[in-house]
Amino acid sequence: MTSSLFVLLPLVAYCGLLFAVATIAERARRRPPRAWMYVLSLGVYCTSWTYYGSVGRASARGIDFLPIYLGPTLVCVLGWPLLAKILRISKAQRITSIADFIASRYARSGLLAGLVTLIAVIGSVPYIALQLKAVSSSLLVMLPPGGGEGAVTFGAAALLAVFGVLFGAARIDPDEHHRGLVAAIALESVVKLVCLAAVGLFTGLVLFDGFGDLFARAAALPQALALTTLQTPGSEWTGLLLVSMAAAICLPRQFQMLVVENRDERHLAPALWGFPLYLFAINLFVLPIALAGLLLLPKGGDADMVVLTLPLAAGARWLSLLALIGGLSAATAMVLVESVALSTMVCNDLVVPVLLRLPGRRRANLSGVLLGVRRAAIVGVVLLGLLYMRQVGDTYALVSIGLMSFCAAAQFAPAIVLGLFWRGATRAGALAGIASGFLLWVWTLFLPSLALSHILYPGFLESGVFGWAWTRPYALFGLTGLDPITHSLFWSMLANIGLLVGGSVLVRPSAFERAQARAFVDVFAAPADPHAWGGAAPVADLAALLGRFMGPARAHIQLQELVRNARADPAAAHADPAVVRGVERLLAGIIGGASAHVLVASVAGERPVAVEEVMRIVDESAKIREYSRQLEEKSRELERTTEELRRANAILQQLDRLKDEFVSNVSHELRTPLTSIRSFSEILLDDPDIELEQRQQFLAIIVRESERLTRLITDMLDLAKMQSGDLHWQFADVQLAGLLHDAAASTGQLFRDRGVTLTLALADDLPPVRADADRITQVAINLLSNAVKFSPAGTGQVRLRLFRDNGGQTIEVVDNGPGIAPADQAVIFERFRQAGDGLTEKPAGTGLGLAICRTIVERHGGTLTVESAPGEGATFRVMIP
Amino acid sequence: MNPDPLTGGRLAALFLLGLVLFLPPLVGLAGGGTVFGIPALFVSVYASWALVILLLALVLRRARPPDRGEGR
Repeated sequence: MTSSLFVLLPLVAYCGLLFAVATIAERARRRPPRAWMYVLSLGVYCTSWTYYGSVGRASARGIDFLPIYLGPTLVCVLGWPLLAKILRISKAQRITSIADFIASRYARSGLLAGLVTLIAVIGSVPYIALQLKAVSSSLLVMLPPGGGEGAVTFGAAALLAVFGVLFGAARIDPDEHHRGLVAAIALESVVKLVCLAAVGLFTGLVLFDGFGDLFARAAALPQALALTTLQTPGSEWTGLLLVSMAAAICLPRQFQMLVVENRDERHLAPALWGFPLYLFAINLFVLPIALAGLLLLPKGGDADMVVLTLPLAAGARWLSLLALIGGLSAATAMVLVESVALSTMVCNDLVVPVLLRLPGRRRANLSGVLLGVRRAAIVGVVLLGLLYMRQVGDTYALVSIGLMSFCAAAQFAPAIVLGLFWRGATRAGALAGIASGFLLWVWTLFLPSLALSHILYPGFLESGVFGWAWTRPYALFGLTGLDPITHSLFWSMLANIGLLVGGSVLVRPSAFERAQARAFVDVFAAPADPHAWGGAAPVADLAALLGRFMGPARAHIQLQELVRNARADPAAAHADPAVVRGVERLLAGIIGGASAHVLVASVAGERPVAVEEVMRIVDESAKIREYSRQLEEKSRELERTTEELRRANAILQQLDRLKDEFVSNVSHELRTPLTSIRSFSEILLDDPDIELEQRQQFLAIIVRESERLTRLITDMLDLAKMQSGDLHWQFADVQLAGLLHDAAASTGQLFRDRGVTLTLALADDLPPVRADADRITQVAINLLSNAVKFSPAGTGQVRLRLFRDNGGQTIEVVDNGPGIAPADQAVIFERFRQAGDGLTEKPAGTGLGLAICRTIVERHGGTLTVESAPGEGATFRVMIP
Repeated sequence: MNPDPLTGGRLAALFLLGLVLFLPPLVGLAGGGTVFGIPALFVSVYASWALVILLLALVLRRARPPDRGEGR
């Protein structure tokens, strides 16, 4: 063995180097961040678990240490949609930890933040214990025996706690970037990679004649040969891959490095392939070292310490010292980042909310208190790890302890991933999912680990509680055949995802919750900050609030900067909303989003369910209503148009029909007289010997028919002129009584010929009306001729009346003829329509008379109507206004 | 929210390739033999891992970074 000084001096020097690097990086605040430093700092994923534990695991089970690194590789492949989104959101919302992130997504729920913090702390305890165990084991290997195991372990814990306090909680910084820490972690990533590679190369090239020789000799050893085939069941391999995928994001320290410490989003792309490459490199020599350990080292040694014992056994003291420093790098990096992340969470999400509720605390300066809380949290977390390690550590190998923590961290994954892509995920669902998943983890992994170490009564592993077999932690509900990790992962994820989805679809989210969901899911589309502070916040109150967390002087400077950036009035008593938002962001950087929100609300007055958000919701629904209103109107309009079209079409069809009828009527009417004229003319032409008397008779018929033809054509032309408006009207004030006397006189001969009596009853004291005298006379003559035509010869009685009616004067022509059937009353005013059956009764007229009358009367603004019943005569009534 | 559809599609395809390569049954397919003196199982797992990382780096180096307002 080696002397204590030989071991401890380099360790102290190494610690000094780390501090120096951190301090320089912290001083160089102005320098732009480096991508490679970010990439290397992600190497914090590789802890003592990787450094010592992988070799230990590989010595027993071959290649199945690898899924833990393949999972993060796959996550990096998905990194662009997933991690880029997380990064963007975290920048917009000033996220300080994973608890902050989850709580912010789900309505800034303080309860959720506290729950996540609690799980993160409890879940990290085994992991920190793992580091402590590795550090103390490695020191025990290197130090001369007799130093006292307890002292070494305690010393290791103290060292890690001091590291955590010095690096992570040196002071309170509103932007929550620990430049020094990142630089130190990047350096440690290089150190552990170089040290492990050195041991690997030493193994292959010095202890053996190249790696071919190593593998060839391993093939001869049955125990080593077994490792070159895959022994792991598929379910376990898959479970390890899945849990490591979740852990790559959800472990508090991974989230810290990946998201919180990221200072430039452009660094993500190189990190996405650089990080897997780092994992690849650091795992390259694990198998050769493990096989060499099996070949060269005595059986029964601690397989987890092969990295140290292999060079030590070969007498390479300096190399073993280098390996020890590499291992220390791996452990300290993990504990540093983890304790920073956890202390931030404990402080912001557990302690501050309680502090803020204590009376009297609201006015005190809290910046010192916060720092104290963080330091105490770091020491507390490390002490918990120490306690767990003392009790449980000896029972488990390193990897098994770490996997337990992975499973706990994986409980955050559903809430994060669903929360990023599904707006419907709600606070209630997230709370139920995470809580149930955590409880199942406690039951199926954490409690068994205590039981196996005899802290709890181990009997319940075999028989469950109260003798219920289905409660057995390793075979819950009778599920057997899975390894404990996969078993626990299955049940906890089933409950977690199930309740997350179920709770989300069952419980209606609040408006603020929906606003936050939108801010997360649509981060690439929506403006960064979803809520505006409505109330008026006094600047003095904001300054006081900020001062309590960062000291009055710095608060003053920050506030002035905010006012300047917002271009607000520096002298205003009430702060601009942008300034209030800025203060909230600053506070969020110190105490977390949920608490900052509550605090600013206490100053800025009522809650922010943003008028903006309300307006947006109102806006959206108004838009939708407007849209549907427009649609309805459109369709109503369409219906109206269709109806009009249908009517127009019906009228057109009717007109078309009438035109056809008209044409056929006209040709018929014209052909009848023409036919007789032609036939009689032909007879006269063909037969010169016809008697004179007959010749006279024939010629009389020809003349009569010609007259009829002429009349017909005159009437048609009249009507056509009237209807087309070509006719010239001569309106004048006329006495209707005089006109009717004239008309009666003109038609007197007709009456006498047919033996029909005409009675006049004309009021002659009426005022003149404005009318075309000739046309009105024409109407009267037409009506009288009609009356004569349809009155029975000899006994016919026709009365012509003129009297004052309401609004005008009315001319009535009443006959005692056969009357007009009701069905015919509407059609007799149409052209060529005569009452009765046109085939059997010879039309006694052109069929245009009434059509002409109606046109004339309507041109005067009056009406022409008929009133009749079959057998009782007819009354034609002309009303002239 | 993908930077551009092409990169998104490539990454999705690469993810599926990774799943197939990294999960049983393919992952344990290589039997007991050796390749250049190294057990075939180790070679196959490490080689497929290296392949995925290489392809990932190639895809990402050609991609434009995600930017606000691009896509929804």
